[in-house]
Amino acid sequence: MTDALLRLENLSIRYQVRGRQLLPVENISLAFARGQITAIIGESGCGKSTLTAGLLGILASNSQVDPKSRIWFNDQDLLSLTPEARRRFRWQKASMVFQAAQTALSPTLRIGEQLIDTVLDHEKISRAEALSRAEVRLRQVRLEPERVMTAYPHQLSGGMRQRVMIALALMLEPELILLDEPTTALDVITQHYIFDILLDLWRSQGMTMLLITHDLSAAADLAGQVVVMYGGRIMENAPAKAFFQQPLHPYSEGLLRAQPTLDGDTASRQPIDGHPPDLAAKPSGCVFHPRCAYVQPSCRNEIPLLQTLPDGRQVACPIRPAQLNLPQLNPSQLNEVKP
Amino acid sequence: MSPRLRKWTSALITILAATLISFVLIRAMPGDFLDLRANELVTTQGLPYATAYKIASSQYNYDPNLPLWQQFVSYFGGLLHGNLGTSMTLRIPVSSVLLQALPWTLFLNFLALLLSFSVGTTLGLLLAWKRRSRVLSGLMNGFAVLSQAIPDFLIGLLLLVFFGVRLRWFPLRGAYDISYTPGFNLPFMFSVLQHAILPAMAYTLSTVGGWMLAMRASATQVLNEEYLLVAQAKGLKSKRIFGRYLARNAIMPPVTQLAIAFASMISGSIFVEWMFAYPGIGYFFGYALGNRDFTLLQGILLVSTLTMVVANLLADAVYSWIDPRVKT
Amino acid sequence: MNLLKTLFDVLRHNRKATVGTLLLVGFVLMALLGPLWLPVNLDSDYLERFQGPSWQHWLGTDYAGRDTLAQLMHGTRDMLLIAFSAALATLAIAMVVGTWAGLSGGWVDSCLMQVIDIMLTLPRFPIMAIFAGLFSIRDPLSFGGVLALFYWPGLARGIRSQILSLRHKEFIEVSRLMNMPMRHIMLGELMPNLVPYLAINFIGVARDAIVASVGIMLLGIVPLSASNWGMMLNMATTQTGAIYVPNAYAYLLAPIVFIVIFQFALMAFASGLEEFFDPRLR
Repeated sequence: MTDALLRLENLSIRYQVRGRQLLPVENISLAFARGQITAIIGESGCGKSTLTAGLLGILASNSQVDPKSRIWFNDQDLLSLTPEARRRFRWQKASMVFQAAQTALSPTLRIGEQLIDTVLDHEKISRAEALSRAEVRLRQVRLEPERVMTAYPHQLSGGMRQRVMIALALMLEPELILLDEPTTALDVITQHYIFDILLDLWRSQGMTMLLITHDLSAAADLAGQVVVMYGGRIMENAPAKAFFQQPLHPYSEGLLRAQPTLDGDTASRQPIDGHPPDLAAKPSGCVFHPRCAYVQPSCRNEIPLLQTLPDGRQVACPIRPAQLNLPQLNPSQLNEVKP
Repeated sequence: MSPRLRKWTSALITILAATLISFVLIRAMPGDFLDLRANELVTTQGLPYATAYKIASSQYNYDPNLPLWQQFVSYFGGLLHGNLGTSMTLRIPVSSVLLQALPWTLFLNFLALLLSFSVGTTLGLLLAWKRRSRVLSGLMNGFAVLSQAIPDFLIGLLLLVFFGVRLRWFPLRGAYDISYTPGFNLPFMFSVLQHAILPAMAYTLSTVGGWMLAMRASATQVLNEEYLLVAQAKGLKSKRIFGRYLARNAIMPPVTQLAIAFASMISGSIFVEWMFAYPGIGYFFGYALGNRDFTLLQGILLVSTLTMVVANLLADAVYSWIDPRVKT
Repeated sequence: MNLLKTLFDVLRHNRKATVGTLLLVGFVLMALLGPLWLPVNLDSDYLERFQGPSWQHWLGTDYAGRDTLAQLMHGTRDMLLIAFSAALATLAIAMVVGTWAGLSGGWVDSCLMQVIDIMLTLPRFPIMAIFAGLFSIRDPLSFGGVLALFYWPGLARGIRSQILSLRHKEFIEVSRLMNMPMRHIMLGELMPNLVPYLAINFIGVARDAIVASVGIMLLGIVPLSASNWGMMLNMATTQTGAIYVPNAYAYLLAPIVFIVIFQFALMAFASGLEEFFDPRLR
């Protein structure tokens, strides 16, 4: 990948919770292409949120990033930045649209204030200029600045708050925007309205977006690339079109099968048996093997590497792609990912 | 009934109850103090007994010859006209005693509340922010326990003995040195401050721990809120996160407690004021109780009840004014 | 029996609770045995006036040359009685009113709550002091009773809301459906759930009662026995000028230290109880 905005190299993040060690992000190496919308898909507790917090450098105090990890952003390692440089990086270069906007905004500050304070802490700019920029951003997400700027968060509807969160993420014109379940708390119509706004912005501004979601349909609507995460590891990384045509990893397959279909035929909808793994005591070998329909003895012992197929797709399963006949594979064609 | 209407009726009933209690109080007292006063007037002013009795009756806002309900009506009517009667021992209207005493009590409690609230909430905020410092939190917890274990008047006593008697840093009694003329002149105001420091410290030391714990609890909760994480993600400077996001939200619950705290300080101010002979409401309460001055006692009881009622209503108002979520 | 054993375990393993319990036991022993060991001798000996601590008088002597420690130990009995009777009476009144309001609901509940609201808004200290002072209440038990008259409303409100929250729990609903009489529901089902709340509040009221009684006696309006801690402080500060005599500091400070230790013992014991009743804290 030549034009990657963001590259993760052996990223591992540990948590210490009541004497137990959790590993929600385990040895992840991944590149995100500039100007693309990539969806990171996974169930809750798969490590998506820790990953985003690690990218922004806002991990909780009981967490620790492995010293061998690297996060390259435009060929600069974020993890080697000083705290002050890291603070300036946040929101200036990468911002985030948080989920559940009810609690993401401070209840005692007016919206306008919460939009401009990040500008004031990053740029030498007058208050008036910052305010007029906030108005521009609010219009971009189709809100009336006159009404919203002086309002308190509780005076807005859920959809309006979510749009405020998007305007907030745009304030410093970052190169990367993380979207953390941006539509979970909203009704379907509002969801599509928000998607429409996001796609509009993407087309006109061309920023790189990272959509974190458990909702496959959201990924299908927005993303050009799909990354599947499970138990803190990457299972599959593929162009969206190819992914939805034929997922290669058994877990991806399970996810798609658990999705309701258009004709509402619930018989064809099959949830994956079992539970997501305990992040403090992951299964040996492939982290998905206890729930996998294609499990082989070797799955229990060896952690499968994320391998790149000839067509560029990446998958962390040696069994399933070989069974599928689509690109004809032989072991010599499978090679490890070299970041 | 709407909650607001309920609050107001409750306030009214409370005031009525207090008047009733003070009405009963004066009638339950042993001895015919009207007769005593009348005889005194006869001897001092040479009035005929009947006239003297009438004067005494109006002075005390009390006439035992009427039927009980009429007594209450006339007593209550007197109150509405600001007639709280005449102090039995000081021989001046109770209202003028109260008007003299109330400013001192308000000043002293305001000073103490200002000190303990600002110091307590600041400490609590720091404690939540630096929650990983075990030394700091251990020290503060110890202090909080200690300040809860000693009643304010005993702290006052200790301050009095060490800083007043032993070190002679501060005066022992009164609200100001009587050699100065009251007014807006520096020596007088300095003297007022000097006299207020020890009693104010007594209140402050005994309440600062409570504010600290309340603020720490509130700030710890705010630290776990998502908007604080967002503020961090926005790359805000720590100073802004601390002031605009943490402090601003954490201070809300303690602020709503202010009015109630002020009221209960005033109604509980008897002991400290008595100890420092500070001429506020509490001091005169002790005086009236010790000298069996029932009219003065009545007046003070009514004033403290009124303070409590007003403070309760105020607390409600403050609460809905300060938290935009309640307003709408 | 099992309950007692758990209680004992918790008290032993929780450092604060152990300290609190030991201190409380110490105070009880002092009240019972102290006067036997060091009887209060009320004869004045003005040559021995305001002595500092010595082998003969561990905590010095008062304005009339009498032993401070003996008076303090003698006063312990009164303090314990006041704290205990106030707490017990408060609990009794609060239980009756709180359960009555909570179980009957409707207009009875509204009326009782209105009364409680008023009681809570009335300035407690002044009214209490007037009662105690003007009606010359002298013995510790009735003094505790007077305090209880003004302490029950808060607790009653708490009990009522506990009952309201218990009422809708499944096991109570079941008992009602099974047509068990109200009294049985009360005793059999509600009490075990209320006990922790009551126990913690018992100690809280005891602490408040001590502060209030010492304060009222310090004002000098209730002439209780002269060896009462609050009365000792009153004598020391307002009557005899002990605050001006450096040698009398032991006499002056001893009651304060005793009060603080007693308060601390109750606080520590309460925190142990809290842990005992809330297994999550164990």
